[in-house]
Amino acid sequence: MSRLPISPSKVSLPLVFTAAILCIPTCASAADKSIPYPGDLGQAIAALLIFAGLLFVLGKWAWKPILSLLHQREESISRSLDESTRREQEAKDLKGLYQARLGAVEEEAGDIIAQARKEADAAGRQIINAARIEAKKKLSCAQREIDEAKAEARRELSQMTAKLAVDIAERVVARNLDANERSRLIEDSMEEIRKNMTDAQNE
Amino acid sequence: MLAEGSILDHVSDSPWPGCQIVIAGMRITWMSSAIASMLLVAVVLCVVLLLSRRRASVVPHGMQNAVEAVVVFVRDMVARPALHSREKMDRFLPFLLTLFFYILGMNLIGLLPLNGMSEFLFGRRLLGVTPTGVLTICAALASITLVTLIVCGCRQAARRYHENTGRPIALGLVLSPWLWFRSLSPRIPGATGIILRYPLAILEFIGAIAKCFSLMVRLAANIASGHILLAVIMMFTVDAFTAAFRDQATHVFYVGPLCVLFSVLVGLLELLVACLQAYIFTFLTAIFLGLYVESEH
Repeated sequence: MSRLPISPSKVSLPLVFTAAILCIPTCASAADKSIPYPGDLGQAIAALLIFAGLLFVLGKWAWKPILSLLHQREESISRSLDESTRREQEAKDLKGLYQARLGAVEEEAGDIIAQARKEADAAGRQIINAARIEAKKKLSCAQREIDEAKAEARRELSQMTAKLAVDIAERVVARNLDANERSRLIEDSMEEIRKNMTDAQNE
Repeated sequence: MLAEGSILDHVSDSPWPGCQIVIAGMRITWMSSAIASMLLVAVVLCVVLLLSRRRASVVPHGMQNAVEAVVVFVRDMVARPALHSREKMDRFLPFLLTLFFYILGMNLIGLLPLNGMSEFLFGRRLLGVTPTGVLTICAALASITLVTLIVCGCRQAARRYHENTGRPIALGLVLSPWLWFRSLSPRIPGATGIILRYPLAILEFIGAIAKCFSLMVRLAANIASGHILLAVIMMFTVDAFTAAFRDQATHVFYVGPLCVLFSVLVGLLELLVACLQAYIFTFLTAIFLGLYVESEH
């Protein structure tokens, strides 16, 4: 297909000449001297030539770069918008993914915490039971020792008492005592019993 | 200055001395205040646009911002809605941008006090007349639109002829005026269509010329009327001051401030009109190009 490009340089001059011819009737009618000077063909030709020159210069060196720059900027903005939309979508997808992962991790962490709590409860109960058993064991052991000590003390006390009674009896038999000596003897004996008992308790 | 002569002298062009020739009874000016203004506009546009292009970067700054704002406005608010297809928009956008900036520059240069400054400095109005207030310049601009739409319409018709029939493009180009003229008429089925085809095509062709004629009248009338209104209001102030000095009249104390206020307001309105008319001219040109080059109606 053949192209028919309209370039400013190609159309400028034919356009000027044709337009100048078209201006002639207006200029001829405007040449009446009775009204203030409305212009003539010279102004029309000048306007056309200047327009043609402007169209050529600006079309070649101004509009082309300015329009291409605008086009370039619009494309860049459009690309940036597309890119930002794509990135936004990606970010949304990524956020969804991370939220799903976070949910899974939270769930897992909850499970782990529940499991740990359960295990800790079980361990605690076990420790408490063991402690109770140990305490009971120690208590019964201590009770037994106390009972043994008590029995031992009673045994020793009875032996000591018997011995003391025998000593007192020996002394009473060996001497003839007046009333004062008797009471002093009883006092000494009692004192000795007390002392022995104290020693026994201390031991 | 304002009080002297006709008020229309203020908006009409003044040729430079010795810069007029007469050919076949027709006066031709080769340098005038309006032509100098147009040259100044062209130079300013070239400098501003080429400078903004030279320092252009993907992230705009400085003058590039302003230029690009206008370029984007013309592309999105003028070319895109009127030309419909991307391919056509790319093809005509440089033309529409040049037209818009050219007309805008010509409208705005008339708002600068260059006219009075040149009269003060050189004793003549060598520069500063609003070019778009001159009827023949507006006729030239409207002719550009008319020629562009006819040429591009013919090219499109030749291309379509070549695509549809497979015949050489050169033959299409030779027949293109006739093909384009025929394509102006809407397709009506039956005998009515056959009868009405050429009368409707003639009407459409006359309509295209009338539309371009209206472009010329609209631009010239809007710009000239704004300047005339501004000149009238300022002339009131001058008259009031003259009367105050001559007849010891006191109405200058209330006429003067009011006229200054109104001239400022009309000046602002002119600024709006300058931008609006550039937009309207370019937009209508784009619509005509969309209408007659595509030829699908």
